[in-house]
Amino acid sequence: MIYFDNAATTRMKPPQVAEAVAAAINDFGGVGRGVHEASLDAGLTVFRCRRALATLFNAPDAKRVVFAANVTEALNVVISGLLHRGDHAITTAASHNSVLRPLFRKADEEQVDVSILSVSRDASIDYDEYERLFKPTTRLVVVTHASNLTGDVYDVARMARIAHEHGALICIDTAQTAGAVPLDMARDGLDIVAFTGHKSLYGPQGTGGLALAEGVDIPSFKEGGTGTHSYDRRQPDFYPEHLEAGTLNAHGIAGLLAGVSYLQDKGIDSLAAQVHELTERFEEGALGIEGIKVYGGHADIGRTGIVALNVGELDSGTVADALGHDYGICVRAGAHCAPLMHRALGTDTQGAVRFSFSSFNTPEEVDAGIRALREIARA
Amino acid sequence: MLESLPTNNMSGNLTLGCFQLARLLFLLGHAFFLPVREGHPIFDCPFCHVPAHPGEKIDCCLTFGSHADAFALHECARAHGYSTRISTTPRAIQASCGVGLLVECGDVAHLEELARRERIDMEDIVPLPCQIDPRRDKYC
Repeated sequence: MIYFDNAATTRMKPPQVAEAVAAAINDFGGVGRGVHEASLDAGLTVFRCRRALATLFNAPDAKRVVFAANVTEALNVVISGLLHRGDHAITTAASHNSVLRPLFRKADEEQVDVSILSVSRDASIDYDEYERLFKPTTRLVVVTHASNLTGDVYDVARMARIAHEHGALICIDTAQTAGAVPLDMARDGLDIVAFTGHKSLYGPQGTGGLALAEGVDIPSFKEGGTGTHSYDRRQPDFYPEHLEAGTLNAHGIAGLLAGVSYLQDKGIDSLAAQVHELTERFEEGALGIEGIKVYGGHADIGRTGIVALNVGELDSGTVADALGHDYGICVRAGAHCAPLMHRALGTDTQGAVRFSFSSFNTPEEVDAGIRALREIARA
Repeated sequence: MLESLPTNNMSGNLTLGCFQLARLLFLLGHAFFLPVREGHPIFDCPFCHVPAHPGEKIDCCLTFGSHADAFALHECARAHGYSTRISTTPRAIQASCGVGLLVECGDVAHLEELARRERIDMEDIVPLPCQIDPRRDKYC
C-alpha cells in the first residue's frame, strides 16, 4: 500500500507513538483522579503534552492548552460558546464543515450573522475584501490556516491584525497545519488555535484541542468531574479544567506527546522541507500528464503537502477507486467536507482527487503515484 | 454513596486537631510576623524542622486549583533541585479533591518565587505534621 491520504490522518507514525499508547494502556490509572502512582503517570504525561503543545504553538502556558476529542469538537466549543444572538462572525469559503456547520446552525437557530469571504478560482483570498466584511457587531473570525482541499496556507497573522483592529477575536483551524507549518500564537496575535492530534502532530485519532491566548475565555460546554473542587456546584472557572469534564483520553494523549516530541526532535522546518520536496515532485510529474488539472497550491506564503487534481472529466471517485484497487494507492476523492471551496474551484460536481503527503512518504512512492496517474489518464 | 464520603468534621480527631493548630500558628506567623516584599510576606516558616510533637516533622503542602499548576511546579521544582512529592490534598485543607505538593517548609519562599516566575497559581501553603504518619488525614 502507498498511503497518500495524510491530510485525512497520518497513517505512518513514528514508532514511539504506538509504543507510548501501548505503555499507557498497560500503566495508566485515571488521569486527574487519585494521586497514586498509576494516576500520576497519566496526569504527568497529560501535563507534559500540554506543555509540549504550548511550546510548539508558543501559547502562554500549559494551562491554556485544553484537550478535546478532535479539532471538530474544539471548533464547536469555540463557536457555540462565543457566538450569540446579535453577533456577527466571519469565515472563508476555504473552511471545512467543522467550521461551516456550527456557524450555519448558529445562523439558523440564533440569528447569528455570518459572512463568508469568497475564494477565487486559484484558491487565493482577497485580504481587502476580508476587511470590508467587518461590522461593529463582529465578534469572531474563524478561519482555516490552510485549505484541506488545495493546501494553500492563508496569512492568519494578517487576518488576526485586522480582526483585532475591529475588536474581534480570531480562531484558526489548524487541522492541516499543526505540526506541518510553524505556528506562533504570540507573534501572530492568534487568540484561539484549534488543533487535531492525528494528522501532522502524529498522534492517535481521538486527540485534539484548543490553545488559548491569555485573556480569552470560553464558556464551559459540558460540566462534570474534574478531580478538583468537587464540592463546588459549578465547573471550575480556571483552565484547563474549565473546558475539560470527564476522564481525558490519556492513552491517546500519551501517543500525542510522543508524536509532538518526535516533531520537536526532528524540527518542523526540516520535516516540512521533506514534504514540500515530495509535493513539488508529484505536482511537476502530474502536470506533465495530458489532461491533468491541478487546483490551487500556490499561495504566496506557502502550501501544505497537498495536490488536488482531476484527470480530464473523469469523476474523482472513479480515479480514486482505480488508484486504490489497481495500484494500492490511497487518496481521497469527493467533497472533502469543504463544499464552498469546491464551489469556488468549480469542482462541486466532479469533486477532486486529493494526494496528500507526509515526511514518511518517499520519492519512489511519489513516482509510483505519477506512473499510476499516467496510466489512468491514458486509459 | 454520599454517606460514605469523608466529612469535614474535625472534632475528635487528634491528627486534624494538630493540623488545625499548626495551620493557625502558621497563618498568624505568615500574616503578622513576616517581612513584606512586593506586597507578599516573605515565607520563613516558624515551624520548619520544629516538631509539633517531639520527633514529629512538619512538611508544607502547597495547594492548587488546577492539576496542571501542581504538575507544573512539581516538574519545575525538581528541575531546580528541590525535593517535592505530589500528594492528595488533605480534605481538611479544602473541601474539594485535588492534588497538593509536599515540600520542605524551608523551601517554600523559593518555590513561591519559582511559581511567580513561571506563572503558576498556588491556592494556599499549609504546614502539615508528619505526612508519612499512617494516621494522617482522610482523602477524597
